[in-house]
Amino acid sequence: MRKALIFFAFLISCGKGINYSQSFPYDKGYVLFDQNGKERKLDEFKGKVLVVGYIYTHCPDICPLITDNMRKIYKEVSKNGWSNKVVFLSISFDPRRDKPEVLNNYAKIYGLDTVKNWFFLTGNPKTIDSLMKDLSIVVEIGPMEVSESGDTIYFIVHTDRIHIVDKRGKIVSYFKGSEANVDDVIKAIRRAI
Amino acid sequence: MIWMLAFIDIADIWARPGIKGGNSAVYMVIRNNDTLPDTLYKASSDIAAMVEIHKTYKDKKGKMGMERVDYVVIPPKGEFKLEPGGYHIMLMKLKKNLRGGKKFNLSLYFKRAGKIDITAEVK
Repeated sequence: MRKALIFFAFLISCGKGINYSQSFPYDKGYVLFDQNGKERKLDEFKGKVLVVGYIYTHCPDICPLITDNMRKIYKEVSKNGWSNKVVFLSISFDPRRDKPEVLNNYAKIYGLDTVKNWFFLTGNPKTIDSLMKDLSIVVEIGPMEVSESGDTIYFIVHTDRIHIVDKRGKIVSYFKGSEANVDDVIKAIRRAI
Repeated sequence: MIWMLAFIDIADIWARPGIKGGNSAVYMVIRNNDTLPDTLYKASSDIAAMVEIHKTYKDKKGKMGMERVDYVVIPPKGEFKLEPGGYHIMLMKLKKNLRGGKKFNLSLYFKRAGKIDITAEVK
């Protein structure tokens, strides 16, 4: 009974950044493209602590909260002098619309285009689908609407997540991206460095 | 700035940044000073090809999504908040980039108060 209570207490204490045993898929040979159209092999980030958020640029409500939270985390990382140890990745799960130039514009709009350790990544749709499955990020295309001008509009139902990946490629913590407590994330990054 | 017409006040109006061709969301607090409810049923703006009232929701598995709603009711002597992670005015297919500091006009349509024109600032 005591063991069960301790385990239950552990589960509750982990609620805001549950420890995780999943690996970041460095060994799968994923090749993506950054906001400048430059090819980025996922494994080139190995050896850095990663703060990874999953977004799509047409998302007006939740993904901006994720990006805002990552920006707050980035400021704290900079303040702590960890900028050469920590890399930020915003990976789009909407590669059909989020081409590099779109991500570049998105980074500019959010004032993140000059941040050297922050990459906005997209890729071939099959690559992105496979990557999201490996990372347990659920992506479901919602119903489509057509505007008066004939444009097709759709939204995506998706997992709300920020991952912290350590230098060896182990996902050591995850947070609800739109509600992440910056202090909790910074503690997780400190442990991962 | 508080926008007031008859019995409806609208305050804390702001919008998310957005890219041309993409989307944005507008948030605000709508206060109803009357003793009868009012209904916001439509919004429009020249800044986007389509403007709708939307709600962000979380499903049973924790996934986040959005859906259109036909209207929201502002209770008598009460308020309705359009806020991040909840209800918002959805701007779709933006006609230009919305950067921080930019202002644009938006019209809200209420069943009783009628049309109210407001200005939103991008933050």
